[in-house]
Amino acid sequence: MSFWRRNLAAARLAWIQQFEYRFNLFVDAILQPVLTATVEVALWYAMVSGIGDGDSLGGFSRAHYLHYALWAAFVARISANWMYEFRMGEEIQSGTINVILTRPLSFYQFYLSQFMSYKVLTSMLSLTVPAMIASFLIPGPTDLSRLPMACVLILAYLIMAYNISFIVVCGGFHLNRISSITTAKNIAIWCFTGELFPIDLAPPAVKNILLNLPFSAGVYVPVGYITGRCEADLVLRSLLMVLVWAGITGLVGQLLWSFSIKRYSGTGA
Amino acid sequence: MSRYFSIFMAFLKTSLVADMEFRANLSIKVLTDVIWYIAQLATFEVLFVHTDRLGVWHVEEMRVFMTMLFIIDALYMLLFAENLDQLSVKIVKGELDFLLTKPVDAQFMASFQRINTAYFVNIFMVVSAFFWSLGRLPQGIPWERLPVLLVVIPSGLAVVYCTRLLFAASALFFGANSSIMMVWFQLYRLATRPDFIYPRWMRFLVLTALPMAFVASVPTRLLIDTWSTALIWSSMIVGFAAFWLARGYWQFAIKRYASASS
Repeated sequence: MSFWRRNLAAARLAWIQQFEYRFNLFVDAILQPVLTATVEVALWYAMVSGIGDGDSLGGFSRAHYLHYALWAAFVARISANWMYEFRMGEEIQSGTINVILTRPLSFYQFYLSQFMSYKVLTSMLSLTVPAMIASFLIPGPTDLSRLPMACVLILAYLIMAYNISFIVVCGGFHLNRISSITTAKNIAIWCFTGELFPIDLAPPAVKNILLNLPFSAGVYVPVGYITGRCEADLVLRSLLMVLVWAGITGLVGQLLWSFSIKRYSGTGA
Repeated sequence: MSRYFSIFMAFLKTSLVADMEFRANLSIKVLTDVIWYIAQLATFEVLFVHTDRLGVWHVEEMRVFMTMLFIIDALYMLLFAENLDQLSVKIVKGELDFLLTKPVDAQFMASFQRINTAYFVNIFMVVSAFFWSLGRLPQGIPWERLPVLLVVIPSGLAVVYCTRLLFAASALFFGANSSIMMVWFQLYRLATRPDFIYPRWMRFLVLTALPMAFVASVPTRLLIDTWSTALIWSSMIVGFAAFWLARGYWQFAIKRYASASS
């Protein structure tokens, strides 16, 4: 019981912080993905403008591509983890982690609860925008009844993404600067998620590799499912893969934490 | 002028020493940008597997556009990125006060104090890639048009620097402005696509009020599309106008700066 109370308190803290800076929340959840979606939809519109109403490119119609670009911008924003990873790294490097270490809640749990609660809040705000646009402005293949299953996959992906962040952050106990590792890691993952282009457009060998990595669950699989590019079997396979990887990365993170915290002197890394 | 040049060289020297202290960090910075270049190129390469033309350009022209973008981006990252990224932190912590007390122009200090020397490697890579992509054009390298780069590259760089400075200096009014900075990153995305892909109203916008088309689109069109003297003049005017606007805004903001942690 106290476990849930402690974690809910951390989760509530994230919401309070977000509502305190409402403009930041608006920019983060709405404005940024709207701008990204505008640029990407324009690119795909130019790309597929030569396709007639009855024709297709790579087996999909013009509307499929526009809807994919629209949803991908929003889902990619949700599945990325920049803010909390930088914040956690900073806590270790500056030594302010000491405050959390004295509390009856682990560093991992404290930030996991905040991270998930923040993501749930931004998802609720963010995903209404493409849902409204797809329903009223650009009619097309979006199937909103598929949204709940896609959200389950995104939530599982977020746990894995957080665990990877935790591993990088633990590196902060041993290295002088980890912010550049965070940037490199996030940009590398960004290439594999399918935000740049639908993975099914890639050459077969590349497509196979990307679909067998768990990162496609960050954008391609949920967005592909919502917009009719892929079916439930791929979502289930992806969900299973993400859960396995969440377990592996979680275990590695805990081992690394146990190893690192024993060597931490309490004065910042 | 020579005084400012010697100060710039001193900044370069101290930045190089600082970067060499963290060599792994230096390598990761280079690697990160290489991944970004590959991702941007891969997007268009994959698109051109399924179509032979995007707007008016084929894959060869698109590669020239992308490498032109990388050159401007690498120059920006080398000279300004770290300084402008840190500007709002300096303002919030009151560290900007130290710059204002120096007998040197504060905008110069705030813009050039930390040079990202890792990007010298990137500049070498992207310039090589640029000439490689020009060599792949059906008409070959347009040697007679290359001098125009002396005008359009500084102009493109001025547009990136000035728009970024406008956003960074907003911290003088609002304090912490990380969200506003994120909006700049989204605006910068407008520069990463050729201007002709945008709808008419948006194309008008990126060629006028938000002149992101002058970063890479206009320079590339001047190199490989129909020659236009008007476009060269426009590029120069936009570069100067952006600088004049950013300079004016900076001076306006500094006059209202209420010192530490404002």
